[in-house]
Amino acid sequence: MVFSSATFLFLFFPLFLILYNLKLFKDKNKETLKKNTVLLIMSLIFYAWGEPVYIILMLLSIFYNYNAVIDIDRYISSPKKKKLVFVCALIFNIFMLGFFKYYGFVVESINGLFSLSLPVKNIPLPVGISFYTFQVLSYVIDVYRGDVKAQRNIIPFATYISMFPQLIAGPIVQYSDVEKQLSDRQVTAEKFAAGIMFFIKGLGKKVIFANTVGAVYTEILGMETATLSVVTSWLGIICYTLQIYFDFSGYSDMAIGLGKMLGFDFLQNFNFPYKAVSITDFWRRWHISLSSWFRDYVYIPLGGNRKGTARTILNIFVVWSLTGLWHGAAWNFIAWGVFYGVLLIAEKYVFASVIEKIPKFIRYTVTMVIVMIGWVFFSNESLSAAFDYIGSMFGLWDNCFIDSTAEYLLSGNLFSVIIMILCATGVFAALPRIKNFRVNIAFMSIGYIGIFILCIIYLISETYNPFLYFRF
Amino acid sequence: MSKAGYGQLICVLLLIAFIGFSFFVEEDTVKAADEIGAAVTENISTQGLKNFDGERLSSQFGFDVDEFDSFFYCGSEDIMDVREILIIRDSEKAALEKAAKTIEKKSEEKYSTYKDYDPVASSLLEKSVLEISRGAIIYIVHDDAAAGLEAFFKCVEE
Repeated sequence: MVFSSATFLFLFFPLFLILYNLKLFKDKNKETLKKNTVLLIMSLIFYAWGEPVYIILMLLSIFYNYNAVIDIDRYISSPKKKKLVFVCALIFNIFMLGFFKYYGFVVESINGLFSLSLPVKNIPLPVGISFYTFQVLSYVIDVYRGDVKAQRNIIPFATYISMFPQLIAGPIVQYSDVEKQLSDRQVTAEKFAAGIMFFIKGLGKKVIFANTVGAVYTEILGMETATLSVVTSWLGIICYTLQIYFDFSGYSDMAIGLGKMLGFDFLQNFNFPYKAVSITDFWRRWHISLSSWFRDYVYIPLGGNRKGTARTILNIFVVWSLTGLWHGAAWNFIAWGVFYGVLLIAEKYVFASVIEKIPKFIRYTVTMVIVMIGWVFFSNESLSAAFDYIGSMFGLWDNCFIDSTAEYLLSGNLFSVIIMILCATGVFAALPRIKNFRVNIAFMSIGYIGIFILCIIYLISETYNPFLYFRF
Repeated sequence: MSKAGYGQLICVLLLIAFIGFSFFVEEDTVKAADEIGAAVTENISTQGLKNFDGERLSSQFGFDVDEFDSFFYCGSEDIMDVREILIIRDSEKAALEKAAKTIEKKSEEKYSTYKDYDPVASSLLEKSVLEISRGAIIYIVHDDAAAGLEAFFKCVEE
């Protein structure tokens, strides 16, 4: 089930809210347990709606890790046993993710590498497995390190793993960030209203913006690369750049908004990444929860930047190869990760002293061009297709600069693309606010209601349109 | 071993069983509807039948054909000839089930229309075949529906 579907908006969520807010107990703890139980059951229904079989996998992950953490906690005075349970838990989780996400890729790569023809079974990727596995890993590692206490009640733990707002496409919520909220959370009118606004903002980003530019990019991607004009190629990748941002940040906003409506505070996942003036800056603003996860659970444990330059370079390289691999079981994703790894190393060790002296506008332009080239690797199904597309962006296949297709596409989409660029770069968000509180509230209410109605109109006329990050 | 240890062991065994089970689940065919259609029509007579586009399919069944991965549709221009062969490929199981329900309903409506005045047509409709297998639907109204169905299964299972 997707948030931007009529089933979710008009059936699932209203029903959920009624059950969630139905006050059954006077005792605060019992009431929180009831809320967690409702949230857990409805989250399982939400997941099973689209993945009736793979819910088994999520339940196995919940039961295994719940028991593993109980054992880690039990063996606190026996480090060897504690470590054994911890290592087994890491193997279990990594194997589960690895098998369901990378089995086909590994077998196909072996076939390609050694000219073999081992049979490859097409096993569908369980939705959200990368996200919930990373959440559960963060919890297991935190308990092992002694950073958080083991959760002895399976209901709050299972709720944390399966919580439907961020189950399918993040943000990756670390247990330490919601530990207290799982046992004690308040939903105030202000928080609920803020949640609605976040949700509508995210819905608008997805339905009005992402789907619109996504259609343009799909159209361009369907054309023969060699025949694309330079302008069409750039328009295409600008559209994809906007699509992936509005699609993914839209989902994150909806997740954060839903979380607020339930009393949770999830951390921000995007901070205007297309305002970045360097690649390092970009990755501080894009998919913050994933970058933080890799920093906390891979980069720092590997030694971070504390073990000399060579080791730091290796660590950055490992982290970015894994980041690429996390996004998908294909060489283009690994290339995309390595591409960023190399750029970040170059920024840190080669251009560090030069970058600050370059005018901000040039830094911004270069960063955006690099980011867009990165998205070419990300959006194409193979490395050769990505290189072909990059070639057409720079006219390497004798592409003409502009043709009638480009003129046609520009005439129909230029205005909306400019509006979206202004939104994505935070120009509108930086406009001064109306100082009068009541007038401000009135304008915002009208605005958000308008966006919601517009979204419904779009949704009625559109076919099924899943989020891009569902496939990760 | 502790209770939690047994819990972990059971989960590991269940995961292995689940993975094993995944290898035995039938997977969708990679073939497009056209290819399956060609295999089916090789085995049954298509005299008097012609291939139609999505517009005709939409008008007959009310489908939005863009929603499907691919489709193959052939039938007769003669309104009294009820023979038709329809194959729809889609990776979404729910979409296929929805489409199959629509086809079933349309077939029943057609049958009730013909049953009182055209015994040949109503007999063909009564014996019509509707199946879903390996991510594809086949609907055949034809004298050789059984042969067509056999060819369909053979093609999608290859």
